Amino acid sequence: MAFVPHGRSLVKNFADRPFALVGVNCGDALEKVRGFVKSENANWRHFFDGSSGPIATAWKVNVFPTMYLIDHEGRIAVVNPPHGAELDAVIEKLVAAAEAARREPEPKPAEKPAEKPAEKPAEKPESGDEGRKG
Amino acid sequence: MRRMMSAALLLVLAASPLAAQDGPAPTIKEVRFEARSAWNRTRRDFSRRLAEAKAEEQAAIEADRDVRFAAIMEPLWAAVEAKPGDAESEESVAWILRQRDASTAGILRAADFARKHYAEGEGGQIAVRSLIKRPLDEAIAKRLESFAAVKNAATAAWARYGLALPRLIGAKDRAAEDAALAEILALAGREDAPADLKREIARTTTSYRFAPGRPAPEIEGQDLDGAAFKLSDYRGKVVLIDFWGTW
Repeated sequence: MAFVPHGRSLVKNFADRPFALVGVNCGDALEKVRGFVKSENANWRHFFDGSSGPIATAWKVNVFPTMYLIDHEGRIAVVNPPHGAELDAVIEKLVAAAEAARREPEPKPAEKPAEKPAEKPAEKPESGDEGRKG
Repeated sequence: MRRMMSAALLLVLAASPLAAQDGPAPTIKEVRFEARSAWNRTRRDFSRRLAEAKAEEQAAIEADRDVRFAAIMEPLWAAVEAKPGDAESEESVAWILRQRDASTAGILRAADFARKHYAEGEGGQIAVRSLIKRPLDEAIAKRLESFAAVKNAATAAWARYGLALPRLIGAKDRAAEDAALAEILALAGREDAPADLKREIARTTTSYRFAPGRPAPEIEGQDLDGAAFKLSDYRGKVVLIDFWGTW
């Protein structure tokens, strides 16, 4: 899989930052995957999905490779992100947001809470969704 | 060839006009067989006409077809309505409901009949699944709402799904989409949800569930050494998931 060298560089470049690369191997025999991961040094963690592929089935993945970028809150951020340097840039942006979130939520102790009710990111506005008759 | 075979079959079944005059009244099954062969012939004729017709002629041809279909069905309806409790009647209504080319009026009539007589059985579910294949207008919605109230959990769930799916597909904004998606996924999440409905929901909601902004479904599995781990272990981190194979 052509992505391995880039995967290695991502793991290296984002070491010590809130980022993880996770593989989901689909359709291969376990021994083959182990050999491949070792010889190619695909040195990140992989789910072994086996030939029945319950994970790929649940995620409706039938094209390979398929990639998902998940943000630090567990939301899908990007489906099939771009390749190459652009991928690094997209990840950088999301990782920066994850780092910002880590710094912020620590409530500063011993402050009068009167003025600032802990800010929350603005929720999406409610919208009346009536009027769907028909 | 098919036409000849069905004509021969009808003779064997003594449902020919000659036999009908002084023999015993044809059974519901025999009436259905006759309707079915007439229906199939008519459908073939009209598909050919529709395929050859200009766009502006289509509506008139379809209206013509609906009239013909209604006439073909009339004897069957008479037989069914005379004995609604007969198993052959239920089978006949189910057959009507399965006809994709049937007019919506015909389907509504069959659905109403099924609601009245077979709502809690298989017939109720067949009616619902026929209704949800049609565009959800007020008439269809009214029937689905009625079926949503039956005791049969599978039938009620299919009906609720039929009412909610158009709201998901036609959602005008994210909030409406979220609400419809949550409602549909809740139907699939119920313990008494029928397996085929779960599969259907998994299929129709895929592109919504895996869209940017949606929560990533949990992944629970084992790594290459057999150690269990899951996607949510990485909460707080950005995760790039790569589905791959060596082949």
